[in-house]
Amino acid sequence: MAHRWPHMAIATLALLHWSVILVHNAASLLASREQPTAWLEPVINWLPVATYALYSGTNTGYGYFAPAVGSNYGLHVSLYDEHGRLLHEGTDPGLRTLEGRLRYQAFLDVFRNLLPAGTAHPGQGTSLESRYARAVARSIADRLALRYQAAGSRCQVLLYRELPRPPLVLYEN
Amino acid sequence: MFHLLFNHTANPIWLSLLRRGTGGLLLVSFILLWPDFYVLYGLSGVVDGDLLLLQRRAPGYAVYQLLGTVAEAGLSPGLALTALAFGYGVLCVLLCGWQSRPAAAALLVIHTVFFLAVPAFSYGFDYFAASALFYCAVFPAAPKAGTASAADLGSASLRVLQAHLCLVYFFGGLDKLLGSTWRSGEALWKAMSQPGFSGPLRPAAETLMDYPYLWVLAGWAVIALELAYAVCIWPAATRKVWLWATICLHLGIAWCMGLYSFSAMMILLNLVAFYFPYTPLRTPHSRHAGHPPSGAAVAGEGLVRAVRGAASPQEAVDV
Repeated sequence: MAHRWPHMAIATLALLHWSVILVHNAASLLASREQPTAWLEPVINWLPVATYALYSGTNTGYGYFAPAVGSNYGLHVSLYDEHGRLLHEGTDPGLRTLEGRLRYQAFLDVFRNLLPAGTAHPGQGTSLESRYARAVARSIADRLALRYQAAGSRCQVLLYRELPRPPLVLYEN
Repeated sequence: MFHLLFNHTANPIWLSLLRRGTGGLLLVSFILLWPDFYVLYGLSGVVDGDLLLLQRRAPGYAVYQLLGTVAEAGLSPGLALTALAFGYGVLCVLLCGWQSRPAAAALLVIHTVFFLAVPAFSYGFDYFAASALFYCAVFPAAPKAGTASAADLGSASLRVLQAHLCLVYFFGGLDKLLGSTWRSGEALWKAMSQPGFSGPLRPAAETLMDYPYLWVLAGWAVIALELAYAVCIWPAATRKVWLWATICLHLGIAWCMGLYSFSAMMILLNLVAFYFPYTPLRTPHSRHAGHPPSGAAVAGEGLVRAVRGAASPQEAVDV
């Protein structure tokens, strides 16, 4: 009984910690099933919970590669000089390490927002997310153009598909 | 509840191994990323920093904000980034030994600034690394000739970590079970075959594409392993089987998909939570003279018994 209150305090903290993990995973699970998560968002976005989750690394769902493995995206950039001659082209922004490439690959998931959802023309959606994805594509192309001192650039967002089908072009500029 | 949390006996070596393992792993991972660090996190990196800041998680302070502030102050953002990265490396080393808890807290802040406040270039490894750092900061140091409350705190800390891992695998397995592609084997095949992931065993895995039932079987095996983890990792009879099967799963992820840092972190957390706490507590006598452990130092008879008087204080600090 001498340690009853410290024990209760520790048990309460442990329960709160597990609850934060549970709430984030419940939200992630529902989102992946395209179920509404609005009722969980006030809890997740409440500043004390958001701060705690951020600094305890628990502000994520653990359903990696689930419920399905998403297709990888690619950004193909072609750079041209002032005469229209091709200076450089490729999908690699100059990364040298496996760790860097993995992180860049994870970042390219931002292009999932370009997937056609009832639009006749891929990549022409007007949602905030798809506009953001196009801005990211342009930003990468502009940064590469600066590095190679190119006068113009063209970028294509590609979605890898199962062989032997060619990659699907989601966006061109 | 109290009984489950506090009355657990464990070899406290897991606490020091969590800190050393996390510090070492973060340092290696950071060194591996270093050649591309400025490309991803510098102000003149691959994407405009202001654009990335639109992804900022509310309470976090991101590296792009920091570098912007530094630039506005007329200082060199590149130098600031280098200094911060150097601090990250030094703190990783400190975490392995001297002042490990404050080092873990400071490292967690820098880790969040680099990788989590704007999670654009982040993946699972960064979240588990943050959790490991959080635990390194809040869990007690390996108890010295201590009190029962120190032992209870150690016991509760272990339970927090163990339950966290059970939740990780439960939700991982449940999410896979609810999607059809893992049950059909398609997800596993896709994870191993598409561009973006590469490991030394990938060509070998691709030679198995003509055996679809093998992929179905493997998909179900992953679901079963993850879903049953929370049950089978506890009884002594199944713990070792599940632990090694889980480690094999992560080795497979590393060698087939090239996710080395992520796999190493998961293996470390599994070993720290479910292997080392159940190892026999080594006494000075058994260590120096090569004799087997004494009767008071058998598996599961470590921390709590030691501090409660069933074993000597020297045994309790021998980690």
